[in-house]
Amino acid sequence: MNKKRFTIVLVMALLVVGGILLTSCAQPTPETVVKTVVVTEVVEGEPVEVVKTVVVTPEVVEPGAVEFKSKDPTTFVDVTGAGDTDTLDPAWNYESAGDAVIQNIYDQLVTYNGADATSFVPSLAESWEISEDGMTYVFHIRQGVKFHEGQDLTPEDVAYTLQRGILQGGGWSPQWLYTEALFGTGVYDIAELVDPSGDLDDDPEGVQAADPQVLMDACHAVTDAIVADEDNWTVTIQLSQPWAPFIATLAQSWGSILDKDWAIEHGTWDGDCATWQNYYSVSSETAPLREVANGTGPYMLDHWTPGEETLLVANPNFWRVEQNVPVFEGGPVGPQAEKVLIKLVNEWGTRFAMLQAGDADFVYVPRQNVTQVDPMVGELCEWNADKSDFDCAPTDNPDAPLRLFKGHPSTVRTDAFFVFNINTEGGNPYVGSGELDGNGIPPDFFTDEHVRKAFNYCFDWDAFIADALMGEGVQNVGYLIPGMLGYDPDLPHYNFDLDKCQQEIEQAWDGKVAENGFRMQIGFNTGNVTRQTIAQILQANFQSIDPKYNIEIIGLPWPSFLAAIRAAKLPVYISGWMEDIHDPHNWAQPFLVGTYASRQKMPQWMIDEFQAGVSAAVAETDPVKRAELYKELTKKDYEYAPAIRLAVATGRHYEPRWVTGWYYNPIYGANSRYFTVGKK
Amino acid sequence: MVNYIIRRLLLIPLILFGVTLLLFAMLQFLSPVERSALYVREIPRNERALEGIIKKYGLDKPIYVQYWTWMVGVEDPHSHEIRGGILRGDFGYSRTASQPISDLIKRRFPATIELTLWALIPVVTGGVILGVISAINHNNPIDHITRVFGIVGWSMPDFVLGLLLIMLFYAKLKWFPPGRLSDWANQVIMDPQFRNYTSMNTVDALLNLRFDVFLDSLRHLVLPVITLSYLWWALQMRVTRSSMLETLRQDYITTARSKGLPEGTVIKRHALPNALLPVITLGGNMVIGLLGGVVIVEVVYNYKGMGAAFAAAATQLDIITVLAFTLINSLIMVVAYLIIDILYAYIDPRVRLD
Repeated sequence: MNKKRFTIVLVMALLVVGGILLTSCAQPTPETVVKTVVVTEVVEGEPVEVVKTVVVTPEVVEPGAVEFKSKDPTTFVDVTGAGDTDTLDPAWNYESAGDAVIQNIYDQLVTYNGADATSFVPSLAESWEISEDGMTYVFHIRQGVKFHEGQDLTPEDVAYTLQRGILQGGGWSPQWLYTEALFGTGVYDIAELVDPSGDLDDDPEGVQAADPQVLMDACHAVTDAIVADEDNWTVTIQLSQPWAPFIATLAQSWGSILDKDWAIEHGTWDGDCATWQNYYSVSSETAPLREVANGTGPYMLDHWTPGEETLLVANPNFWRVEQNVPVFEGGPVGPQAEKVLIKLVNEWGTRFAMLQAGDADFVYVPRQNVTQVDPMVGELCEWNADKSDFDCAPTDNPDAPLRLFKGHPSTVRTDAFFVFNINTEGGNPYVGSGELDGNGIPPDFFTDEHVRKAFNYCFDWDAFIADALMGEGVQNVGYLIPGMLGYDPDLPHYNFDLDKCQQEIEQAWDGKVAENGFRMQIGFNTGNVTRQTIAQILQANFQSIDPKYNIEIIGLPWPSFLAAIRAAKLPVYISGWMEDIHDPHNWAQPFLVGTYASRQKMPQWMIDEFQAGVSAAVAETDPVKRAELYKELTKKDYEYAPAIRLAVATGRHYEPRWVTGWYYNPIYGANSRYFTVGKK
Repeated sequence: MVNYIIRRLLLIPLILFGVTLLLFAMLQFLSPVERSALYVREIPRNERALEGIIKKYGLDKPIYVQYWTWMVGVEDPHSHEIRGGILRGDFGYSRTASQPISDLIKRRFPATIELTLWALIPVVTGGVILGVISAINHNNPIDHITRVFGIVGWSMPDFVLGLLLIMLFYAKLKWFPPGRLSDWANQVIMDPQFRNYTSMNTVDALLNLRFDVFLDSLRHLVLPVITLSYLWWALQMRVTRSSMLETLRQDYITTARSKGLPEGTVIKRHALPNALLPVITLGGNMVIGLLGGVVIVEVVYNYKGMGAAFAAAATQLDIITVLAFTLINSLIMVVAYLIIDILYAYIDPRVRLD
C-alpha cells in the first residue's frame, strides 16, 4: 500500500478534525430555510390553492432591535475567579469576596448613598446625631426590623455587635478601624488596653493570663464607650477624639449588626466582661460564626460550600419592603432577583465559556484577557469623571451580547517604598558590599533626599501604565487616590525626567554616588508581574544614564519576599494597598505614619512631621478644612519623597445586556450589592 | 503470597512515617517568619500580625515539639479539646479551600473517584477493542486511522483538548456544561430528603431513584471523561496492539490456524488472553495515572474534585493542604502498587512473590 493509501487516509482524517475545529470557530452566516407555503394560482382561468415548497432567507433584524433575555431571570449568577470567602463572621472578615456575601445578608447602621462612597443614608439607624465636639454619636435604631430567623432587632443587638467585634480583636481582622477611633490613633487592638506595648496582640494565651482587673478594665472601656438605651431605642458611641471617618467605618461589612441571642447561642462572647478574654483572637477558622449567618439584609444564606459556591435567597420579610424604604433615593426597596448564585471558577477559559453560553451574569475578566471579550461588547459605557457616572452608547457591533463599563478609577494602588535604614544584621545580599564603593549601597542610602528624588525622576509612569496596566490607568499625584477628598492633580508631583534624575544623583552623598556608581537589588515575589515591571523600569532608566548605576532584579519565593520586607532587608520594596473605607485617612495613616512608614524605617522626625498633619486632618469634621489639611500633607509627601507614588488602574466591568441596575461605588470595587441588580 | 502481603501491609505505616519526616524536615529549612508567610496571601497590614501567627501555631518551638503537635494535635487551653493531629485524621485547615482539610477530602475525594471510574470504562473497553482491531488489520487503513488517533491522543496536552472541547460543546453548542451538576440538580442533592450514600452523584442519584439527576450528572461527566481518557485510551490501544501483534506471531497461533480453526476463534481463545497480560499490568498503573491526571481536567471543567483543590493549594502556596494531599497520595500509591503486584502474580503463574 500502501504509502499512497496511507497518505489519503491521513489527509482525510486531518480534514475531518480540521472541519470540526473550523465549524466551532466560524462566524454564523445568514442561513436560508425551506418552507412549505400555500399559494393561489390561476389554473385555466380559475384561482386554485397550491401547496409549494420555497427557499427563503429569514428577515435580517435591524441593529438595536435585538432583545436580550436571559435563560433564567430568577437567579443572578456571579462567576468569580478572584478567591473565595474566608469567613462569614462580619467581625473577622477582611477581604472583598466575603464582603460581597456579608453586605447582602446583613445591614449596617448606615449605608452608602448609591454610587457616592462619601455620603451616607440611614439604614438600621433611622437617624443619628453627632455632638459639637465630634466625639459623641447617638444613633436612633429603627423599629420593626426582623432578623432572618425571626427575632426583632433591638438597640442591645447593635451595642453587643460592636462591643463583641472589638473584644474579639485580632491582627488579621478589621477591628483596628474601631480601636483607633475609640481609643486613639495607633491603638490597633484591644490587647493594647491590656498591654500598651503590643506584645499581647494576637496572643490569646498571654491575654488570658493577664491581671484579671486589667482585663475587666479593658472590657469596661469598651462597654462604657458603646451603650444601648432600650427605652429610647438609641445607641450612643463615645470616641476618645473627633474622628471624621467614623460613619464611613460603620458602613462597611464589619459594621454588620448581629442578633445578640443568636450569636451567643452559636458560641460567641456571652456579654460578660469576666469572660471576654476567652473569646479574644480565636482563629478565623474556628470562629463560631464562620459558616453561619443571620442578618436583617435583603438576602438570606441558603448555603456556602467553600471553594465551590454560595447561594443566597431573597428575604421574604425584608424590612425595606415592609416599611417602603428605598436603599437610596431612587433606588430599589427589595431584591430584584429571587436568588443569587456566586460560583467560584478558577480557570479563565471556563469562565469565558460560561459567558459565551449565557450562563454568567457577572464574570471576573483578568486584564490580560480583555481582548478576548471585547468583540462581544455591543454597548460601551465610559466613565465621565465630571459627573461621576457613565456615558453609554452602542458599539460598532450593536447586536453583540455584552455591556462594558470602563474607565472608572479603582481603589487599589501599588507603590515603590524606600527603606531608610536597611537591616544588614547577619549580612544582606540586597545591598552588595554595603558601602558606596560602586559595588553596593550603605544601609542609610535613602536617607539622602537627593537619592529618593532621583529614583522618582527616573521612573517612567507612561511605560508602567502601558506595560503593567495595559494602558488603562492614571498617574497618581501624592499618596491619595484620584477622586478622594483632598486629592488635587495640580499639586506638585514628579514626572519622568532623566536629566533631573542625573542632577539629583550628582548632588547625592556629596557626589560620591555619581562618582562611584552604586549596585543594589530590588526583590519581587515570583509571579507578580506588576512588581517585576516596576523594578525593570527603574533598572533600565538608571542604566541608560550611566552603566555604573546598577539595579539588579531578583525574583523571590513568597515566604522569602515577605520575610525580607518584614526584616527591612530590601532597599526598595513594592507593595499594594486596597482601601478599607473610602476616606483619605485610610491612605494617610498607613502611607505616612503607620504600616508603610514603619516598614520603611522612616526617620522619627519625618513621622512626627506627618503625624501632626494626619492627626489634625482625621479630627477635622469640616470637609473643606479637612481637604486643605490633606493637600498640605501631599505637598510634604512631595518634598520628602519617601516613596514613588505610582498609578491607579482604571476598571472594567462586563455584563450581559439583560442585566439591569448595576452601579459603581468605588468602595464595593468589583463586588456588588446584588439586590440592586436584576436581569430580564 | 500471604506472607508477602502481610510484609507489605506492615511496611505501609513505616513508609508513611518516612514521608511525614521527609516533608516536615524540608519545611524546617524555612525560618519561622518564612513559615508564617505560608499562612497568608498578602503583606499584612498590621506590623505585628506575623508574630501572632508564629505564636498561634507555635512555629518558633523546637522541631520535635512542632512535629509532635502536627502528628497528635494540641490541647485548646480554653475548651480543653484536642485540636489538630494527623493521626487523629485532622490535617489542619486549608486556607485556599476555607475549610478543614479532612472535610475537603471527604467532599472532594468521591468526586475524583467517580470521574476516574467513569473514565476507566472507555479507556479499557475502547482501548482494548481498538488495539485488537488495529492488530488484526495490521498495516491496512483501519490500522492507520487508529494509529493516527492514538498519536494525536498522546501528543495533545489535556488542557488544550479540554479547552477546545469546552469551547465547542459548551460555549457554542451548549450541550455539555462544566461543573458537576446543573444548579437545579445541585438543589436536589442538597435537599435533606436526598440521601447521600457515597457522595458520587451518579451512584447516589440512582440509589435515590432520581434518574433526572443521574442524567444531568452524566451530562456533566461527558467532556471530562473524554479528555481524561483520551490520553490513556491511546496508550491502552497502542500497548494492546503491539502485544496482540507479538502474540499473533507466536508458533501456537500458527498451530491453531493450521488446525483449521476459524480466525475469530484463534483471536478470541488463543491470542487475546495472552496478549492481555501486559495490558492488565498497565491497567493498575493507569488508575494511579488517572488519579494524578485529573488535576488539569478538573480545573478546566470546574469539576470540584481533589485535583482542582490540589491545584488551587499548590498555586497559592497553601503548604498545609499540599502536605496533606501528598500524604494521601502516598497512601494511595502504596496500596495501589501492592494490589498491582498481587494481581500480577495471580494472573501470571510465572511470577512468584515469595
